[in-house]
Parts: sequence; C-alpha cells; structure tokens
Amino acid sequence: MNESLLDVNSLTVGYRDGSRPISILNQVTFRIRKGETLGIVGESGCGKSMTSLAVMGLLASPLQVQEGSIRLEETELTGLSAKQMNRYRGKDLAMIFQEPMTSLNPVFTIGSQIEEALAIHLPLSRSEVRKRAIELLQLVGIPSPEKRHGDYPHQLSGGMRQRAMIAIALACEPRLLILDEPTTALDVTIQAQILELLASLKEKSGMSMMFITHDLGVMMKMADRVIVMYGGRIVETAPIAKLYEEPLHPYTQGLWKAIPSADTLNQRLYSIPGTVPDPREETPGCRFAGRCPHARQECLAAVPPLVPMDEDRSVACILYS
Amino acid sequence: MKKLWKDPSSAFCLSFLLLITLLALLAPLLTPYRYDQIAADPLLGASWSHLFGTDEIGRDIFTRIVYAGQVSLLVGLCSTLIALLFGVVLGLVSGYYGGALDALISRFLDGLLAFPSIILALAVMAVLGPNIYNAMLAIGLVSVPIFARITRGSVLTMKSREFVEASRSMGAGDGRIMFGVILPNSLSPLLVQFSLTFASAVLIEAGLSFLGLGVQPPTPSWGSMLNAAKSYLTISPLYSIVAGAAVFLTVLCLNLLGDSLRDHLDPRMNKRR
Amino acid sequence: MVPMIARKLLELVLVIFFVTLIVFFTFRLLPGDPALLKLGQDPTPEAVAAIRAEMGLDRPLLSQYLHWIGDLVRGDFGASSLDGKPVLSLLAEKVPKTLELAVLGTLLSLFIAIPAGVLAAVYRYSWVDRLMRSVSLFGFSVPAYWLAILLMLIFAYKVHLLPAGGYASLAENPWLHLKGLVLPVLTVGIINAAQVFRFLRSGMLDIVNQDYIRTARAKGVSEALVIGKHVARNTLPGLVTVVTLNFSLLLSGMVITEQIFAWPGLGWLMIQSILSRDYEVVQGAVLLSAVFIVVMNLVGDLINAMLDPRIKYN
Repeated sequence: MNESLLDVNSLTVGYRDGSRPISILNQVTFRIRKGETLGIVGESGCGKSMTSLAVMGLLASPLQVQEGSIRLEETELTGLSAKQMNRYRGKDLAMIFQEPMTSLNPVFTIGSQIEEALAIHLPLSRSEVRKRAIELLQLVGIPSPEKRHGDYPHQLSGGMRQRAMIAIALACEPRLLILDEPTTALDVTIQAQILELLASLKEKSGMSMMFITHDLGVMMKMADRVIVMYGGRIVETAPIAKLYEEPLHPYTQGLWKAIPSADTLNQRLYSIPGTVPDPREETPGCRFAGRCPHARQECLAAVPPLVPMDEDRSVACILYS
Repeated sequence: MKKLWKDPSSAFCLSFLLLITLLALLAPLLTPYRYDQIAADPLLGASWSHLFGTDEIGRDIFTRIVYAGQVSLLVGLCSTLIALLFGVVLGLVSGYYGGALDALISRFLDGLLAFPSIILALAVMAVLGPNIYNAMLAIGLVSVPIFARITRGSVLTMKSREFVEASRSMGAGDGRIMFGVILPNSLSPLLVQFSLTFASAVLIEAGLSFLGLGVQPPTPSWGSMLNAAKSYLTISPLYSIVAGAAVFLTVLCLNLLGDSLRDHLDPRMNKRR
Repeated sequence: MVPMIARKLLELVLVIFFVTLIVFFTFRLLPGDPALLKLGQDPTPEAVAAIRAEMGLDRPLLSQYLHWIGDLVRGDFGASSLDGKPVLSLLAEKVPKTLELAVLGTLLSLFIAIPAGVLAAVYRYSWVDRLMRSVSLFGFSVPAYWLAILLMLIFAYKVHLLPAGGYASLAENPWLHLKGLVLPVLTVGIINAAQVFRFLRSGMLDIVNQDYIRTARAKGVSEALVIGKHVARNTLPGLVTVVTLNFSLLLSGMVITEQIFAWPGLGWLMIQSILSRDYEVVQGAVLLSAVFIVVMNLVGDLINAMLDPRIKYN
C-alpha cells in the first residue's frame, strides 16, 4: 500500500516567448501511492489541469515539459515519443474530462468509442470486445447497456455521457485514473451519483486516482491526501483530515473560509480578495503574497520552499519556517 | 488600421492597392499616350517608350492597363456599393421584422444565390445591353444576398441585446434602431465582406469584359485586353501576362486584405495568437 | 429524418419558385423589349404588335408568368429563334459535356485539396502550412480566364503537348477527347481546389481543438488515426457542403473555361446564344443552371443527414 505508482519530481511546464522561457507550472513534486486517491485543489488557472495533462502527455503545443520527471513505477514518461506514450495512454493511464457534453465524439456510437480503447490495447477478438464494452456500460450503471451500446452521444443525458466517459477510461483497467473536474458540469443530484459510482469503482478495482477539483466538499468525499496549488506551485500537501482540521497555508485557510456552510449562511460569502497572478509577470517572492492577509516584507524576497511539517504534510510559507 | 500596416502581408496589399489606385487616377499624367491612340507598330515587345509593348493595333499596353484600372476599380467599387446598399436594407428589414416578411425575403435571396454569379450577371447584361453602368448593376445584383445574410445574422444576435432594448424603451422608432443602433454595431463583418466582394466584383467585371459582354471598346478593360491578347499568345505572351497579372494582383490583394481585416476585427482570432 | 426531407423538399419548391420569378422578371421587365430584341433594328410597328401577340406580351404579367410556368412544367422551354429547335433538346445535348468537366474538375480538386488540407492541419502553423496557404491563395484569386490562358501558353504553345481547345467526341476519337479534357479540367480543378483546401484546413483545425479529439488521444489512439479517423470523420459533412456549394462557383468558372477552350457545353452555348440574341436559349440555360444548383444543395443536405447522426436521429 505504501508503494509509489506515480512519482512527479520538480515538474516545470511552460512555453517559450521568443527566447524567454515562461513557466506556468513550477517545480511541482508529488507522488501517488498504489490504491490512493490524491486530490489536487486550487482556483482555475493554478495549474492543476496542466499537471494532469503533463502526466498524460497531452500538453498542447506550444506548452512543453521544461524540467523534471514523471515516473510511472519504473518508467520515465517525459521524453517518450508520441508512439511510445500511446502504449500507456488509455492502458495504464486514463483520464476523464470536465465536459461530458463535448468530450465524446458526436459521430461514433458510445459502444464503438469504448471498443476503440479496448481494441488498441488488448488482444481481443471482435466479439470479445463487444461483450466487454457492454459489461463496461453495465459496470458504470447505464441501464439497458445492449441498447445504449448503439446510441450516439447526443441521445444520452449529461450524466449518462459522463458514465460513458468513465466506461471508456476504465476499459483497460488503468492503474491511474485522472479525473479533471469530472462532476463540475453536472447537476447536483447527478454529481452525487457519479461520485458514488467512482468511489465504488475504485473500491472494486484498487486503482489509484488523481482527482482534480476546486470544490473542497467533493474533495472531502473522494481524496485520501490533497495537494493545494497556487500560481503554478504546490503550497501545501496533507491528508484530507488534517487539511480540514488545521489548514496551515493562508491560501488553504482562505479556500476553507470560502465554502458556504450552515452557520455562515446569512453572512456575505467570503472570497479571497484579488485574482490569480499572470504567469508572465515574474515575481521573485511568494506568488500569493499580494493577496495574503499575513504578507510581510520577506515574502517578496524569495519563493518559500515546500517544507515538511510532519511525516505526511508539508507547507510552503515563511510563517512555518 | 494602424495594426494592418504593421502586418507585412496586409501592408503589402494596402500599398499595392494604393499604387493601382494612384496609377489609375493619375493615368493622364503618367503616360504620353491616349488609351485609344495608335502610337506605334502593332505587337511590339517591351521597350523604354512602350513599357509593356503595344497591342494588336499598335496602342501602348501600359497606357491601356492604367486606364483600364480606372474602369475596373470604378465598376468594382460601384457594384460593391450597390450590393452593400440593397443587401444591408434587405438584411435589416428581414432580420428586424422577422416572420412572414423574413421568410419571403430569405427565400428570395436563396433564389438569387442559386444562380452562379457569372451566369446571372451575363443574363442581366444580355438583357440590358453591355455598357459600364449595366455592368455595375449586374455585378452588384449578384452580391446582394451575401451582404443581406451577414446583416440579417447580426441583427438577429443584436435584436435582444440590452442596448437595443434600451433605445426602444426610450422611444426610438424602428428605422432609428435599425440604422442608428444595430447597423453601426455590425460594421466589422460588413467591412470584411466589402473587401472580399470588391475582389469578386473586379473578377466578374473582367470576366464579363473578357467574354465581350462588359465594358465595350474602345474603353479599355483588363478583361477585354486579355481576350484580345489570347489571340496573340505565341507572338506576344507579355501582353496576356500583363493584362492577367493586373486582375490577379488586384484580386489577390483585396482577398488578403479581407482576410487580415477578419483576423484583426474578430476578437476570437486575436485570442489565439 | 422523413420530416426533415419533407421540409427540405418544401424549401426546394419555394426557392425554385423564386428562381423562376427572378428569371421571368429579368427577361420580361428589364428595359429592352423582347419583341424589339427579337426583331432587330427598325422594325415596323405592325411587326412589333404581331410578334408581341405571338409571344403573349400583350397579356397581363401574371397570366404570362403562369402560362410560362405551365409550359416549363410540360417540358416546353421555348424554341431557339435561330433554327426553331426546342430549347430543351439544345440544352440536353450540352449538359453532359458540362457535367463531364464539372465532375472531373471536382474530383481533381479533391485529389489536390484533401492531401494538402490534411498536411496543413497536421503540420499546422509550420512552414508546410504556410506554403500550402500561400499556394492556395494564388488559386483563390487567380482569374479562371488567366489561368486557362497561362496553361494554354505553356502546354499548347510552348510544349505542344495538348490541344489549345476543341472537342472531339469520346466515341469517335477517345484519345483526342481525353487530351482535350486535360486543360479545361485543370483550370476548373485548380481553382476549385483552392476553395476546398481553405475550408478543409480551417475546418480540420477547428476539429483538432475539440474536446473529443483530446479524449481520443487520452485513449492512446495514434496520431495517424486521430487525424484519419476522428478528425476526418467529423470534417466530412462540412466537406460535402463545400463541394456541393462550390458547384455554383464551378459553373461560373466553366462559362469562361468552355469559351476559352471551345468546349461546347452549357456555358459555351449560353455565350453563343447571347451573342446571337437567342434569348429563349439563354433563359433556358440560366434557369437550368440555377435549378441544378438548388438541387445540388439539397443533395448535399441529404448526404449530410446520413453522415451526421445528430441530424439522422432527430
């Protein structure tokens, strides 16, 4: 259980603006253990989606990995050719995206889109592929899977499409499933159903998950351990329970305060003042300093390193160093 | 506009179009010959006194090219203006009032659009008789539907916007709203289309003249010059190359200009860069 | 799908109604009395009155129009004023020759544009893409008559490889027929290819950035299959639309191409008829080409309805 599945080390992602390299993701280091669900949380633009795309090798040009390593057990994924990477994508690594309405190809049937993933990676006959696709539809809770197999995406509701996406992702029993805001686009009731489905699927398969969301409530349900990202860097990492009981980084504290709860219902909803900084503007110090209630002069001097506080939590803030 | 000058390809196009316009406007000052003057022996090659040589009856080709520029640009401009005027009015009315009137106008425009452009222009010219004014009318008619569609489209997206509602609540009449509020806000796609239609108008005018059904001799036109040049391809290839290149470069520059106008005016395109 | 076809057919009838109206008014109402045009210069008033009565020009417009439509529906497109031959049979004789050019030109343009479009989309924003776009801009702006003349200059006069024009029947002299086809088909095909390429490039770039393409990549689908299957299949409906819409442009270019290469098709007939003031034939040719375009657009819509499940199952 303590074995690493994915080791990401000093990952830096960005693009070149003329001769100047611009980094959007900076020195991101984390690991996901076998069977663990790692949550990544942060505002939009903090780099959480980019982290997941980098792991999948799906960064769109001109973005590229500028530094660091991504290891899946013994295999270094950075630097693999597209062809080599395709052996892992869909097989060991699978991903579910935010927008179920646009993430399925409108001109192919649901069934054929699941079968495609199977046929690429597994040595199965046509009839076996079909049988497995129907099993998968059943597994993700799509009613009358035999019939739905021949349906096109536009014939399904948003929740059903996301279930179909999950079926595609699970087709080859991946070791790591990446979920990028998988329920954000869905109605609240559907959201709960999908989360429940994901939890039970994980239970059955023992795969690892990387769960990206900006919703801490969802995180509480799904994640074992959480990393909090801000401005392209990790600012805090801790088990979800510890993060809930005692958030250390001022940004994490702000995130918790921004959740509406029963006793704050009548007050004005708190939001962290200011906005996420532009990655093109280089600042020497802590990127959160401009919005931080505890900011001091030293904050602007250097980027605070991620410092371990105890055996399973670290924080990047001078308040704790 | 400043941005256009910074982009090398659109700067080139603007300069070329300006050059062509200046050449056409200043034609009498630029050349010692009249366009219908027999200045030398027929079908001479290029020389200092006859930059592009002489044509089949000995007129100076350079002179005729610049004078023909006047005709082509004038016909292109006027027919595009005609198309713009009728297209915008039809589009405004059909988009603004909607309902049966919209359906009627839209089907009429579909009908108009069904005719291949040169074929419709030819038919109109055949009936009206070939001369420069009828050419403007015929070519203008061909391009009415595209302007109407663009205008109708932006009226439909604009009709429900707040500022239109606001001016209505302040008592602005239909005409006021259409021409004073909606039209000024849909200028950019019309401007892009103006450039593209100008290009196709020049192309069609030269095509009609090439077929002998546009501008009539002795008035020079790039199209009719090309038609004459066709018979002397082996003796004087320069003749047909020059006449064709004049049309080609003008049309190319207008198209390129339309493209870069679209890039600069369309906010979605800017974001991608 | 059936209600969709019914709706499209109804639209087709409406558009064709407007097409006939436009043709009718163009040839009846615009200045230039058809009777005078028919008689030529300085006719006697009696002759004018006689011919007006014969042509039905003294009746009210609506009755003239209905009469004309009635004739059209019965297949009576009038008769040539030159030799009295029925217009319909004149047209019928020319249509296959024009269609031959149109179909071959379209095929050639697809043959050029599809590989070019795919390359430009795969190597987007690279020098390959820029080169292809520049070349296509040439094809987009070059006048058909100039391209035809340049091709003629090179292949007929410099290299003496191909005839500068003319038509030989396929049955009597197949080799000459084919040789005569090359330059007109090249002219039409190159210009059309530029249009198709411009669409393909922008259409494919649009689709490459769609979420479902990212899904395909996440499944481990190879780049070749991403383009060849997922992108291509989604570009297809747009391609069908462009090809069918381009028939209008193709016919325009054909009028001039046929004239230059003396290819006796519909466009050639139209020009000859205009020059000899044979208006019944001109009218027939204009009407026929417009109806052809309308029908082609319907065909495009129907093909797309079968290609796109979102239309098919609604």
